[in-house]
Amino acid sequence: MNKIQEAFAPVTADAALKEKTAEFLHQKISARQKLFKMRMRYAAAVLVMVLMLSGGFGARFLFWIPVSYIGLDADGSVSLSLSRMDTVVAAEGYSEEDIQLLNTLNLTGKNYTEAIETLLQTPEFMSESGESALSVTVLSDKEEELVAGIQGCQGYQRNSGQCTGVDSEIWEAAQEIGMPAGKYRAYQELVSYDPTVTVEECQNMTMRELREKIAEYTGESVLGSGEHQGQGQNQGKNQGEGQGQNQGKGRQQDQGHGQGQGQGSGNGKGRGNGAER
Amino acid sequence: MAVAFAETVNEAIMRSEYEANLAIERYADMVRRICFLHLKDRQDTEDIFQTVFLKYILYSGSFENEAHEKAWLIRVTVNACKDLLKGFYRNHTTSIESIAETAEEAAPEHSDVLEAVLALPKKYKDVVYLFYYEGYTAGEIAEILKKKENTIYTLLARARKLLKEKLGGAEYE
Repeated sequence: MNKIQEAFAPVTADAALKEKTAEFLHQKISARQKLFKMRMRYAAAVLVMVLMLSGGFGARFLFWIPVSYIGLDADGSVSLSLSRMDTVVAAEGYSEEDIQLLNTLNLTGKNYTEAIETLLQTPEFMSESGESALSVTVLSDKEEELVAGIQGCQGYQRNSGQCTGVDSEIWEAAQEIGMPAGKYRAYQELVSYDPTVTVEECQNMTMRELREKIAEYTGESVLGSGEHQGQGQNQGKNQGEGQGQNQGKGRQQDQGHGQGQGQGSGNGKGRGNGAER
Repeated sequence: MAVAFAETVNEAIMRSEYEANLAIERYADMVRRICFLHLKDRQDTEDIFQTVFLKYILYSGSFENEAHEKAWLIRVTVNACKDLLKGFYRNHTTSIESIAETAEEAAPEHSDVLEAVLALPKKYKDVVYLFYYEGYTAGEIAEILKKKENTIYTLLARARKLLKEKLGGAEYE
């Protein structure tokens, strides 16, 4: 042992210094442990909140995110947005009257068939006398199921409606010009006969008025052209009427477009429309 | 939130009270000697003890072995003393009389040696203590104090010369 070692050897930490340091560390450790426990509780609370929120999101996903859309056109025009659970999460009207009507009906939260029944029983939307023309369009990945549900509605059966699925392109195109898909398709058909018809004109027409306009060119019955109304009964009538009218129209068109077109459209539409619509 | 989480993790890996007490038992004398080299005041020594061992329990790294742990504590203690002295230089400068007094109190039989070491310039004290008392090589001291090995050799040579002048003999060669 060198002299420096000998000299420094007696320099030691006394018990009081060690105890004081140990006590200081004890307090620090205890305080930290308390803080740690508090933080763990806080973390647990945050975790619970996150779980609750994600649960809430799951609920929102199931109950409030629209995944299907139904457009209804009669005297008024309405589109319903449906959740994954087939409940109405939003109902949109296309005119002031439609919006006011929806405000009174309060369809949100109802099952879609219940909402449609309610709507179809409302005279402002569809006359009770059966004079209204009803068009229902469905945009959904479970189109068949929804169409079947709509066709089962009493109001639908009573009013001889048309119910068809549409793809998202048609739905979006219709939304872009502020029309429900059913009316949009009728507008497209009408424009094919009369290119001078404007969107605004069609927006202001009821579905029956639109069909009447189309019928002027096709010669079909306005109410008897439904797909679900017994095709045999209407086909004979439609063919007879269609041929006569379309031939006339064909001639008119021939003046501008030639004979070939006139004949083709006359025959095709007389048959095709009866089945499609 | 990320910060709170990191702190929580740090707290979770904080050393236990048992480990803290074990470290105090093992290294308190060494820390005391380093404090003795630099500080006169008992309260300052207590502060350094608390600072050093608090840093120890909060240190999230792991030590490869006991030697690594000891070297870490030496470095932390030396730095803590330097930090303390930086701010209170005027109040903590020690007179020759007080050095003699401290040395006499600590080790009456070797008070001349202690007095000579304590009277060395600050930069030599740690090197002398680590080399002669703890038995570290110049290379090891360089690593602990984060200095160049050649610097340590220079410091040692100069310290030896001063000690020899004061104490005489060839023991510090």
